[in-house]
Amino acid sequence: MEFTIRQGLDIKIRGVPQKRVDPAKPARSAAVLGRDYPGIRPKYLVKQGDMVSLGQPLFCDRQHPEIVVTAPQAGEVVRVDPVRRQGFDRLEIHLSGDATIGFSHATDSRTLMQATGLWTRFLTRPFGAIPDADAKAEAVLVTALDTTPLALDTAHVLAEEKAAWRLGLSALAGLECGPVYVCQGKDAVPLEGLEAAVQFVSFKGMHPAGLAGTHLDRLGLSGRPVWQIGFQDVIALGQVILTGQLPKTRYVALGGPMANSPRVLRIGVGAKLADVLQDEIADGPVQVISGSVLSGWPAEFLGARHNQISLLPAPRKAVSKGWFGRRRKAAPQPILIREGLDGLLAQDIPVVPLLRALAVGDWDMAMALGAGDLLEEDLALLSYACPSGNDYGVLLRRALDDYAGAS
Amino acid sequence: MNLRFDILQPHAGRLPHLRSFWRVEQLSLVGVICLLPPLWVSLADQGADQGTGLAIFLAASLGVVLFWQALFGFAQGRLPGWDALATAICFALLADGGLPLWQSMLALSFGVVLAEQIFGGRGFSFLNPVVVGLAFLEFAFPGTGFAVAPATFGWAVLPGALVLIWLGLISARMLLGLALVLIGFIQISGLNLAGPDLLAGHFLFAIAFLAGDAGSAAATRFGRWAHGALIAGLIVLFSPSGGIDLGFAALVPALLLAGIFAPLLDMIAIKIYVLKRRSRHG
Repeated sequence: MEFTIRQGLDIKIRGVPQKRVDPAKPARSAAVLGRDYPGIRPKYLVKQGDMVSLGQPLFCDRQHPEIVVTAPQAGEVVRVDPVRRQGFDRLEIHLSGDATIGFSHATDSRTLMQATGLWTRFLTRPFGAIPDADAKAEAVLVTALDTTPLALDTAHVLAEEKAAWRLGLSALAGLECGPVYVCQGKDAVPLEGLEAAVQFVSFKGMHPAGLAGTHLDRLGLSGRPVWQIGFQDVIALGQVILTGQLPKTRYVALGGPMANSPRVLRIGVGAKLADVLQDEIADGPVQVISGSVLSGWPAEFLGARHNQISLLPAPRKAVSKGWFGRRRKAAPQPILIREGLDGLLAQDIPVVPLLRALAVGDWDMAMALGAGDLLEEDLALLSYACPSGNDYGVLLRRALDDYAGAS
Repeated sequence: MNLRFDILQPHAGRLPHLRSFWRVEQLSLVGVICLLPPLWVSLADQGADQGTGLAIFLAASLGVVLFWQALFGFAQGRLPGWDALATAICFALLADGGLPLWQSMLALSFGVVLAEQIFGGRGFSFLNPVVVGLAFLEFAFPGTGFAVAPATFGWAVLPGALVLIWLGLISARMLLGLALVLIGFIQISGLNLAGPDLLAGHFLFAIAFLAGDAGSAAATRFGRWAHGALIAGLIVLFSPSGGIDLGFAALVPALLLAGIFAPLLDMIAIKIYVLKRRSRHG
């Protein structure tokens, strides 16, 4: 199957990463970040001062002890943040040694993914949560192209990791959660000889052609329970089957105007970015974004699902307008209608009514218009382009959380 | 994709880290710049005496708009924006400068307060303050005239209108809907255009800057077509018999009523979409 996405926007930013792949500088510490695990109420299995191995469970979900999050690297646990109502901030590991937990691939896919912690890389649609341990989906969407500005060249990585990629896809088919749609770029070649459940779909067009939300819309899956997963996590699953161990690194595109040498780096999972990027940042105030420039976040550590790091010039300090400035920030900003906004959402949802519903907190209207099919990343382009400056990703998250809580 | 001139802008605070260059202030400023050619033509056309009169009228209008914006802004935490100047220019160019100043300023106050500020300002309201102000003049002081447009006025409107269409601030769909229905009526009924010529009068100006106002126009695809078509239909309806009047007598009530109906047209489009969606997904 092939789809062409006509909507979208090509944002030009200096510092497009070259294809060259280099190992990154080693980091001294790595972290597991609470915000990568939406909906999980952690029960810690380690405490400060413990030595952990790569792949060792760090915490599990209180309701579902099968869902564990494992250590991205080996070392000593130096910081464990308390769990609050909105989750926890991070669990930090001071890296040392090479201790590694081995996994047997003799078990079924579901058990293997849950034991390795790769289960937590799934995100459900609707709501963007981690699926329950015994949940079923109607389809699994593997995102194997990236159309955000400064994105990683996925085809290149897939070619390098072909064996693990094939094994990973095959393992996903073993979940028996409907068809596994592998969403690739227009030039990618489908792999031969995989299970019938694995179907290759190609998408071309500008961003958001590479978002799982766009894919599920075109595949006619909106409103259905679907899980999405990134291609690097599928490769990691393949690595586990191939070597018995979780991979230590991810491919990460380093780009942006403040990058000395924009290229692809192999960075330790969860690595501390200040260590890794020591010689990579040009002089001047910089903002380090983990993830896409549109939907990533300023971070000290590499996010679990992120394929890129963007180095942007740090914003100038906002000019304080005194009393007015403080009042202004709190107030919702008006939406000036521009026709172009319609062309930035791949779904056929009426854009301005959706943005207005989100801006005024009318969740019922937003959900009736189809906000349930969307996640934060799908609205990032609209937050970028809307003259109001509202962050629709945050507003959508509130709407989804309220709805998920109520149902 | 037609968001033009996208220039990157680092953005303080949380997400999004990147913002398009075109924020409310920038777009409002462009709106004011687009109004400068018609303003210039009007000033130049009227000679020294009346030109000064227009300048005084404009200054008074600006003062009134700024006063209300500041008053409501103080309560709501907003600073006055460039749109104050745009409102003042539009009103000064359309209202009759020969009226007692208090009458026009009362009308403008009515428009700015009731059509804009009590809703929370531009972007939150659903009516254009100038349209409401002009309608107030027409209803409260019957028999008052409107400004007389110089001969080249329509031509002066065109560059600004094209820029606004290009930026997506005036909906091309609305303009097409309006043009199609108007031409259709003329063809079917055989009526002639009465009143001032298309390019000489205020018609183009009012369509571009009042009907197309991005703060209050329809916001869905269907809504935009229907809004344009409705304006055209109402112009025909309000025209005196024997012709289609592109002058103010039909234009102001048509714009006012179409503006009131624009959110309803959007709502119809939304309801249809939601129903279609439900039948698709069960």
